[in-house]
Amino acid sequence: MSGNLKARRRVAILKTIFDTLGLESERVHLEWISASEGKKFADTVKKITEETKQQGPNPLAKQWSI
Amino acid sequence: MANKWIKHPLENRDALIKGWLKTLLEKEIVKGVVVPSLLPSGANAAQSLITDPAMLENTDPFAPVMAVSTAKIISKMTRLKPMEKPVAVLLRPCELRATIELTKLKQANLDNLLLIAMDCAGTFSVKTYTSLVQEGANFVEIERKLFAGEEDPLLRPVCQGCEWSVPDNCDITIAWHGLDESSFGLIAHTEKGEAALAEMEGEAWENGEEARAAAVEKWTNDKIAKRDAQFAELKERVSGVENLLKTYAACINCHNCMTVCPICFCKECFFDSAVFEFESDRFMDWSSARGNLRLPTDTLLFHIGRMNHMSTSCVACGMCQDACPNDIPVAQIFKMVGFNTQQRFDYVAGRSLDEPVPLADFREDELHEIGGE
Repeated sequence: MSGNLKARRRVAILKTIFDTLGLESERVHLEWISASEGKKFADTVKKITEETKQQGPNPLAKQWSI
Repeated sequence: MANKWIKHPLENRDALIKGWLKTLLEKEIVKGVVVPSLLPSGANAAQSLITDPAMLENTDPFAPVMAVSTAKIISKMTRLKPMEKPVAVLLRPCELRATIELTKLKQANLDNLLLIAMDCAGTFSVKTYTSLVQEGANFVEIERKLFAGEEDPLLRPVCQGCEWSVPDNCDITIAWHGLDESSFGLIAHTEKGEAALAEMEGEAWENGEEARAAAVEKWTNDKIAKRDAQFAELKERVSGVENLLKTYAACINCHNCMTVCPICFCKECFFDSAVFEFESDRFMDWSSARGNLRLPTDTLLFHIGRMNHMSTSCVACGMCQDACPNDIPVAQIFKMVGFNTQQRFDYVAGRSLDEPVPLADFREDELHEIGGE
């Protein structure tokens, strides 16, 4: 089983691209949650929702010319 | 480890190299030679596969232009079946580094190739090269000035800040660094290279290794400083939502940058796939969300997606920027992004056949700051 490790590399690349281009890499999240970890899933989603609320809308979302 | 160092007067370089390649063909040490030939226009040069020794007359091995990356050519010729007989290929360092990447990605096979690579001070775009030929430019003189450290704003922008002047992983190097400016050198690094270079007479290049290392170090450090200055200026100019949209505003979605990229080897690009075919409602929905929608869609997504797919193997050859009809600095952005993504994995595209490409490799004990666990 290595898909999660490969995915982590892909996320690292994406975050690095965002950081280089001045986009908000903190909007990209990676968390490993197994099917049996219901509470971890709920807590993680809550945390991400709160963080996103604080960050406000993504400035790219308003752009029509992307 | 084989190692032979010889030198010759620079003024004889073209004739000597052509004569040597001719001998290699005549003696059947190689059965073919891939080298730039002069095209009928007289002002263009393109890679060609020569099997008839007489055709070497019409070549220009050091034409400072890359119409197509030779890496792409090697891939085309060896992907389905490796060369059965030895073939010599003349390359510039970025072409060699892209060839290494393609070999690791199983898109090229180095079997039976004799890799002859040259010290490179940069190349001109096809357009600029053509007009320089028409103006009667003296390319050896231009090269001499470039290797002496002079800047030339006509060089392709990525070449101006390229720290990879010296080829690695080849059988033979055609060297400039480490000699006075009236000579050029030839170095065999492998048994295969030494056997081929046995067909070339030459004065022994005494203490070449030491002189060359010092010259290469100086050149590389100067270019790294230039590169870092380019990165700083570029980051200022392109980063952030507003700047990115400005930078890619001129993109016409032609995908030329992807088509000419030696690393983009997919037969069908993800961005040309059915994933990006949508029903009419989707367009109306997207537009409604903002009141307007640029068409075709996903311009920025294409460029960032490409960075995500292959910046870890980008060798900064600059072909993408040459192919951009609207002069978007795609290669410079790619180089900067690739530098950072590669650094994240302690990887350098084209450095070694032995280190796996980052996307094909993974470790448990890494990137803990990214998340997971």
